[in-house]
Formats: sequence, structure tokens, C-alpha cells
Amino acid sequence: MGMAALPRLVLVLVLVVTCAPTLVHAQAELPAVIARFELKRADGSREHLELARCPGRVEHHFVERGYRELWLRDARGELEHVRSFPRDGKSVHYTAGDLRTISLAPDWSALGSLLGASELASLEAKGTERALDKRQARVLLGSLRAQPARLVWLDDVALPAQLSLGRGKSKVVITLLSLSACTPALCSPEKAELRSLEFADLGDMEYDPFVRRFLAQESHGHH
Amino acid sequence: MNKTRKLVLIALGSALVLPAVGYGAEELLNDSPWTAEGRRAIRAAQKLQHGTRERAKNVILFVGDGMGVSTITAARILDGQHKGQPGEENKLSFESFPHLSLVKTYSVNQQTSDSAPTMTAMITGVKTKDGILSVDEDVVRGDHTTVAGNELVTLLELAEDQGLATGIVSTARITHATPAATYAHSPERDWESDAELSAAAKAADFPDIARQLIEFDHGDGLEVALGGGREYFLPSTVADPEDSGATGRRKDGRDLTAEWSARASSPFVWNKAQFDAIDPASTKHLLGLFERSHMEYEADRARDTAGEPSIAELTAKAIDVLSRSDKGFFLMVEGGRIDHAHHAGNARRALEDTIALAEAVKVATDKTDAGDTQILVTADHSHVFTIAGYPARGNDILGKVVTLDNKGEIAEGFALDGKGKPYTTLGYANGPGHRGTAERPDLTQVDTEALDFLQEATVPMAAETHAGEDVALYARGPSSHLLQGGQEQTISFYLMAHALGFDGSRKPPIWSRLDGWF
Repeated sequence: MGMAALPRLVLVLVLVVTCAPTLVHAQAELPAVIARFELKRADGSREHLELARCPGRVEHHFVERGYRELWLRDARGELEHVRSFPRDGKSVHYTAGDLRTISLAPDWSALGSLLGASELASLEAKGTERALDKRQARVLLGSLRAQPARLVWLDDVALPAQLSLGRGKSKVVITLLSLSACTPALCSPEKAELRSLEFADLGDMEYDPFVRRFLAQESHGHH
Repeated sequence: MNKTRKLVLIALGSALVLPAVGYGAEELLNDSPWTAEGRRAIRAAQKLQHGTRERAKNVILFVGDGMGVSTITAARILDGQHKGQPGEENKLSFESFPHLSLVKTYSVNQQTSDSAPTMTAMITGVKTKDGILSVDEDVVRGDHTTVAGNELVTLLELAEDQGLATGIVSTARITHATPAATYAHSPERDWESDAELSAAAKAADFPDIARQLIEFDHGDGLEVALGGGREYFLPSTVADPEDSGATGRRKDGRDLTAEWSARASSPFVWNKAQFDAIDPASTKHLLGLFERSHMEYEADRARDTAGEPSIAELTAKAIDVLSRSDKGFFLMVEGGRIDHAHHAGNARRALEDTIALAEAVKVATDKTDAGDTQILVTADHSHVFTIAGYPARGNDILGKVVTLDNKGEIAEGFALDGKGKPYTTLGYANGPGHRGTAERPDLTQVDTEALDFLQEATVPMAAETHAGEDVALYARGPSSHLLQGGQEQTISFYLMAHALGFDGSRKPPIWSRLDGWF
């Protein structure tokens, strides 16, 4: 199952994404892009994350795990969330009501930028440098999640070109590998042939092996 | 024991024997609200013993999914506090019903059950196994080949066979376990559309639950089906009318809403405006599906894109449509989201939905005659939901415990746990409210009354669970006085069937199994 315990690196990223308060990016739509990141740990292990950001839609694809998280926002700002596990042939769908009920209210802009506004604002500007495709980028230093951080930030697309977190054996580096425009086709992809489960129903599906594993994983991850 | 307490005891004893011995005990009774309430209750009960009919024209079954006794108590208090009262003395509408039993909710193979076997017990009079709908225990979950010959006749089917009008209302999907058990027979509660069927079941053309509703072949079919679950009735190639970008989920290409509407005077509606425009006098069959999946929680209903009727409004409309039948009607109404909010560990939404269900019962009570309409209110199972500590009278039921001092006065500050931290009155034995830290959180500055607050849970689980204790069954109207003591959950079926006279001259096959019951 693709939802096995997320590595620390990805977990940090997800925490930053889902817990950041709304400030800087406001509610304006960010440029539609597909960004491919590499996540590298101090031990040399690597994973890849693809971020597809379109109007009203942000998808995170954890490539090696075959696991996807989709966020949808309607014209009224109501969110829906789908977590897809293709290897299990299942997805879990959270309605806006479900998200409110479990107090999951992520900042839309942070979902599409990997970094929340307050995290960004907490860092100190330390000059500029050239990043991916010789783009102009700002260098910011400081602390994120109680760890030393160095961020190379692309203002034009509101994405990190590189984020270094921690030091020594706990150090992780997230690097933007490629950036491309998100086409209309990519913004409305065909639905995967997954069995869609409603989050609200999971409590009544205690004998389903997938649901049992999902709930066990969730209970471990719950704060 | 002080004098006041002695007098109260005398008063209670006297109230119980007043009619028999005939002595005037007025002077013995304290002048207190409790005395008046006690006398009123006794006199009301005395009248009931002599005037209750057994045969009903109509039967309405209300099911609060997961509405255990602690949920009713907390909802009663919250409802009272909404009205500016302390809350404890308040009554939800159905708590004024004259008859009550506790019922045992175990299933054939579960100590603590899910909604499928419990609703099967209530609607067929036979207990069965987990996850299967209105089929007996010989059926293997998920195996469609074991169904034939093991179907259980439901009360709704009997009602249709006898010419009554029938209806279902739910704030969950109308293909969800509780409403589905009234009209469908399935070895798997999750087979709500053909997209969920097993490959073998699909190959054998075994009907999914939504299809069983549309193809229902008893009588002239259900007159009313109102709730959520629209995408289970629409093909995956058809856009949802409310939510842009969404589609139905059916793979067989069938638009079951269109098939419903193909009959004369049989509209399909999906939003509040369409619902409000329905004229019951000219409506034979009404299908309303107000959400792709479950309807909104009552606390969130006002935020819905296209607008949703409340469960009270759904109930009122259902009764208006069904009342066109001269032969009477059977209606099942489910408050389906109490269960979901509890699973999420979110007590406030569960309680607001319970209050909404009580308002629906009030509507039904007001719109019908206790002389010819039996109303039952019950739950399929309970939840591990607790009301704890020693909060003072009138303490905010969603708040932190404020207790009494040693003089019986409200103490200053919050009651504290062994580590000096405040705690809430409401909590769960398990669920997502577990904070996962070695130390309990300090709730001093936390708004525990907030709609989205998750009550603390002892055992960490991503979904809070059902509980196995008995649930209450409240009854009003014909045959309700036959409800006595502790019962099996199947009693609901026999009470309803008896009231509707299904033990009369026309014996459907089910009665061969029930000889001796009536």
C-alpha cells in the first residue's frame, strides 16, 4: 500500500503544506504549472514528488509510492480532497463537510507552493541567485519547523527552487528538477479507475482490509 | 436524612398508590416542580393503560444512526441550552412518547454491530450477520450466489404488498445500509451502484442497491425516496447537476433518475427550490437526491451549493405525499449523519443532527393522529460516547467541566485532572480525538464549543467506533403499549407488523415463520 509511513522528508513537506496559515499568497490563483521535485536525504536515498497546479486544482504525486493527493476548490472556496492509492485500486474522497468535521483546513496557496505564507515570511532574505533555467531566485535563511533552513525561492511561480532543511544526518534537500506549463488536458485528467470510498463511510467499513490499514496508518499519523 | 428529603420520598410513594388507597396526600407533598412533573407522568400513564388501540393505519419508523442513550442525553441538554435553559430538564420530542424499551443490538456474529444487521433486524424481524442487508445468516458476505432463497421479507415490502404507500427518507445516501435494508437484499452493504459490485456479481447481473430501489417490484413501488446518493443513480458519463466537474459513478450507462421519472407524476428533484415546488397532491412517486453522496450535516446545511431541505422538511413532504393513500402508509426516516460525526469524533455535529431528527419527529407527531399512526424512534447501535466528570447543573454540555465546591455551590475555575489540566464533559473511549502525546493537552484556552472541535479520545483510532450497549426504542400510537421491558432489536418489526394488521387474513410467506408470535 502506498500509504506506508511517509519518510521524514516527505512528512515535513506535508506538514508544512497542510498546516500553514493563510497570509501572503491570499486567494489569487497561482500560475498553472507542473513541477517535479527531488527529495534527497542525508543517507543518499531519493524520492520524487510531482506537483500539478491548475485553477481550482492541486495534485501531489508521490512517484515512487504510487500515491496521489488531489485538492479541489470550487468558486465559493469550498475544498474537496481525494487520496488515491492506485496499487490498491482505491481512493478516499473527503467532502467539504468531511474536511470541516476533522478540522482539516489547509491553506490553498500553501498546497500549491509547498510552503506556507507564514513560513516564507519567517525567513530572512539573503540575496539572490540563479536557479532552474537561470531564473532569478531569492535566497532566504532562517528556521522552519525548528530546523535550520535555506530556501531558494522563485517568486514568478511561487515555488521553491531548492529547500534545505536540518543538518547532518537529518538533513533533507528538496530540489526543483523541472517546470512546465499545466495544459488544460492535464488540468482535467481522466478519472483513474479506482474504487472510490467516502471518508465518512470508513468508520462503517472496519472489516475491509484496505480500510483497516488506512485507518491504522491515519491513527498513527494523527496529531 | 433531612425533612425535605423524607417528604419527597413520601410524595413519590404516595403518588404511586394514590388511586388505590384514595387518601389525600396533597398535604404530604412538597410544592416543587418535580412533584408536579411526577404527578403528571403518573396520571398520563393511568390514562394510557385504558385507551390504547392495537391497529394502526400508518407507521413511521425513525432511526437515529448511532444515536445511543448518551447521545440522546447530550442532545437533550444541548437543545435545552440552545433555548436558554440549563438543559438537563429539557425533552427531545420523542422523549414524551409514552412507551419505551431498551433493545439489544448484537447481531448473529457481532457483539457490537454495524448498521446492516441491526436495520435488518428492525425491518425484517430476523437477526443476521455483519455487512449484509435483509438476507439471513446463511448468506456469505460478498457472495451473490448465496442470496437466492435466503432473502428476508421486509416490512416495507409487506406494506406495498398490502396496498399501503411507502417511503424512505435519509440524510445519508438512500442506498446506505439503513434505508437500503428496507427495500434491497444484498450480500454486501457496499454494493450501492454497479461500480461497487464484485466481478462475479456483475457478470451474473446481480442488481446493485440503487438498481434494486428503481426495480422494486412489490406493489406499485416506493412512493417516496428522499436523501443523498445522487451519483449512485447517474452514469459515469453524465455530469452532476450540482457540482461542476463531477459525474455519476454507474458503469452500466443507466440513468436511474430518468427511469424513476419515466412513470407518470413521478418527479426527480435535486435541490431545495425544486423540492419546495413539489405539490404533494399531484405527486405519485417522488425521488429527491440532494447530494452526490451523503447530505450535509445539519450544522453545515446552510452552506450547501444548491440548498438542501432539512430532515424535518423531508419528513413533512414525505408524509404529505404518502397521506394520499387511503390504505395508509409506512415511512422510514433516518438521521444518518449522527453516526458519521461520531466516527469523526466530532460531538457537536452529531448532537446537532440528533436535535434535527427530534424536530423531524415533532413534525411527524404534529401531522399525524396518535389514534391511527404508530411512531417508533430508535437507533441501530450506539457509539463510545461519554458524558463524564461532575459538571454542575447547566454547565455547557460542550464545555469544560466546572464542578461544585463542598457547599454545593459552583466552584471557581475548571475541574482539573490528576495533572492539573481541565477536561471536557463529552469524550470518546476511542477515535481521532486522541491527542497522541504523553501528556494530555491543556484545554484552558481552547474553545471546546467550536463546531469543529474534536473531543478527546482515550484509544487512538482514526475512526471512532460503535458501542455495544442497548439502545432505546420509543413508541407512540397503536400497539405501542405492547412495548415492555428489555427486548431483542427485532421487536420493532413485530410491533409495526402487529399494528398494521399483517397477522390478519392475508398471510405473506413470512408469516409461516412467525406463527406463534401473534
